[in-house]
Amino acid sequence: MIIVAENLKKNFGNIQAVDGINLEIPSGQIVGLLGPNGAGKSTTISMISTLYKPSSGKLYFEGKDIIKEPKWIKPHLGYVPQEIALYQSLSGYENLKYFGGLYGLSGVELKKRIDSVSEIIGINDRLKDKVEHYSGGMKRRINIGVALLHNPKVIIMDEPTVGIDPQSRNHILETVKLLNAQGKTVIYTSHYMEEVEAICQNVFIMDHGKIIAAGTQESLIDQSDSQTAIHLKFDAPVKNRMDQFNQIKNVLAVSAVADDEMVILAGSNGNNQKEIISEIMTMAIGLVSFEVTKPNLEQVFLKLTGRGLRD
Amino acid sequence: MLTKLYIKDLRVLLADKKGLMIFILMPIVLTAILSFALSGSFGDPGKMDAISVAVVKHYDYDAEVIAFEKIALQSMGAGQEGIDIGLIKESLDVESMFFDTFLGHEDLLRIMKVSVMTDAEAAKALEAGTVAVVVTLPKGFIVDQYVNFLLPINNPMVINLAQHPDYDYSSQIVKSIFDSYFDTLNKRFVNKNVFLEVGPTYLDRDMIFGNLEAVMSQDIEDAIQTHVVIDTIPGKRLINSFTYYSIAMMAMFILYSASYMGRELLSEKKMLTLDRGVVAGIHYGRVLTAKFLMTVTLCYLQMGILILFATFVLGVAWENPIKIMVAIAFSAIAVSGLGIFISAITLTAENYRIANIFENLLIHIFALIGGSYIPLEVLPKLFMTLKYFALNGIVLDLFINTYQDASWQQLGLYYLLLSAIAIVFSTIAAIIIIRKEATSYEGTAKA
Repeated sequence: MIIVAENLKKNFGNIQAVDGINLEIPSGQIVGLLGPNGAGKSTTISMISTLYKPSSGKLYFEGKDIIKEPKWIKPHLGYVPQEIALYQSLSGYENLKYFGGLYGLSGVELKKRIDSVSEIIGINDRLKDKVEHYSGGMKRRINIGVALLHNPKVIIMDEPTVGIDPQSRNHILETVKLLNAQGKTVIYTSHYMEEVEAICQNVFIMDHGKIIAAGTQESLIDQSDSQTAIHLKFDAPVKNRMDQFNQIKNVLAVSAVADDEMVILAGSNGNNQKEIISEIMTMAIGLVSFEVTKPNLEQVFLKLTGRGLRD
Repeated sequence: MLTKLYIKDLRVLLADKKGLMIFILMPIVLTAILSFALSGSFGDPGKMDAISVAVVKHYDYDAEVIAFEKIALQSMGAGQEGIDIGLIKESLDVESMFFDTFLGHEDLLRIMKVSVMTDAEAAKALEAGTVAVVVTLPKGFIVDQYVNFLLPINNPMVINLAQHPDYDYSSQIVKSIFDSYFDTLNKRFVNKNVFLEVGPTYLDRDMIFGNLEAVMSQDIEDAIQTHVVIDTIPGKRLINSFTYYSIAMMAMFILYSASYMGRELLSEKKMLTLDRGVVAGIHYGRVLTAKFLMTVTLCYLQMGILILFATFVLGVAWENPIKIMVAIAFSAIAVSGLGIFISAITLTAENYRIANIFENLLIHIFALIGGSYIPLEVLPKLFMTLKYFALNGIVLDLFINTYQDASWQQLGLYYLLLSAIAIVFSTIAAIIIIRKEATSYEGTAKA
């Protein structure tokens, strides 16, 4: 594990922002930190980034205590804040040069890194322009680029796609995947469930300062006992056969949408859906089409917390 | 690392065109405007420039002498001998006394440069500002003086002074000098009247008029020397409006550098660039030091450009460039100390209120009490003490003294004062910042 947190707590006066969380972040993975506003995500990553000292608990980077010695993690950490943390009146190049310099890069090495990073973030043709003239998406990309200059082992991204166009968002997600392919560990927080689903191998769901679920997406869905919805359309009315559907194994509920349409809710286990469809086929009642909607992290989150991610 | 922070701060500063306009262009514009607008209220450097005065004669000298002859005969009564007007003109030439003895006195020539003009010439010169004051000697100026000198009656005399609006101080000086002259004459007239009234009791007519000359003839030059004393401090160069306002505006506008600096730390905090630096291992203290150096540079830039502007455009002759450089250095560190202090408390307050109050209110109060708007000499005496509470007041005094080529010892007091300001404010700022960094990291207050 590259980062380990044990019973990590942080309070601001009477406010318990993080309440005894345990994290184990494997090296070389993209780890999602999910939670609504005020869940404690930003405070958690601020503690890992050494911006806040934990009130109690342990925090290790590669086995070294970074509460006692924050210097162990600093050179290996790339931090992408939630907001655009750049000098707007300077050019993209000047920003990269300055922040690279803070990590001890200089001369030819710095130039090489700037070239490499600007290629990764896809902004090399606009580097000489002032940041204030960039679009929101370009600013976000430079914001990420700054964190990559010193080739860190761990990159923390705090909601890096807020407020940008789909094209820039896709580019950023591709960048994250690319970094992961290069062996980087990425800690990624987001409000956007689909982003986490698309890129994260492991997910921690936070609420009220605690981690309420953790694991791979599949295991989280299984743990949550969320339901799969099967939308069915027939060539004739089937309302009078509702009881028949209810008796199929693993069917949890049946509801009619129209005379010839219904939705069946089943357990989230992958085999359940196959068995149900097969059973319906054997009933010879003129099935025209079906659509299976699997449970996602959004539903898992809803089930675990009783509220949506963006509430 | 400090160099990297400093260069970045400098780049950010130079990219701020609006800020640079305020820091550099505004004081240049204001210096030019105020210098020209108030040029009449100041002397020229290096010497006291004589005030140009036009004198217009409304009298006819010969006609008035004849008129006096008639008045004298009437006054003496029938059967009396006529007076020897030739002798009177020779022994008591009132016109020569006014123009040659009084206005031609060498002390007065250092203050006033008098030209006799016609009404039209004087009016034109006054409008053009080539003369500061027009003195009109009325009809009867000669005859009235003779009457007042020699007969037991007094005729009132009215001298008119017209002044140019830009030369208020000059006009006051001219008025005072003329008042002094006529006060002196009046004393002689009073002496004469007393003598003529009391004399007949003890003396016969010949003796009275024989002694009258002694009563009246006290040297008018003595009177001028008694009333007009021109004193200058040896070695001091006088300040004209260009010199004064180039210094005054410079002293005021360097406070805007402190104000700019005052916003910097909170601005970096809000932009999260400070956090980014902290994650990279930069401490607040280093950021603060870089900003201190950046403010010193900004002050150097501001003051250097203004000094050059004053030299090459306004013609201000700075005698000692080394002393000027030293004065800039001490002023810059004091301003930077104040700047980082404002920055530290603004960061702690986590809003720009303090920096705004400094920029929008305190700078203007300091400008007033420090003498940047108007010379403190024209304000109540209290302001002369208050100026030491305003950084610009100390800087202004330092530069005025530097301009006058005061000794290193005399300037030393200002260097000490400015160093003390820099040290005190920087130390307080450093303490605040170290505590802020600790509380931000500890999270005792959410940063």
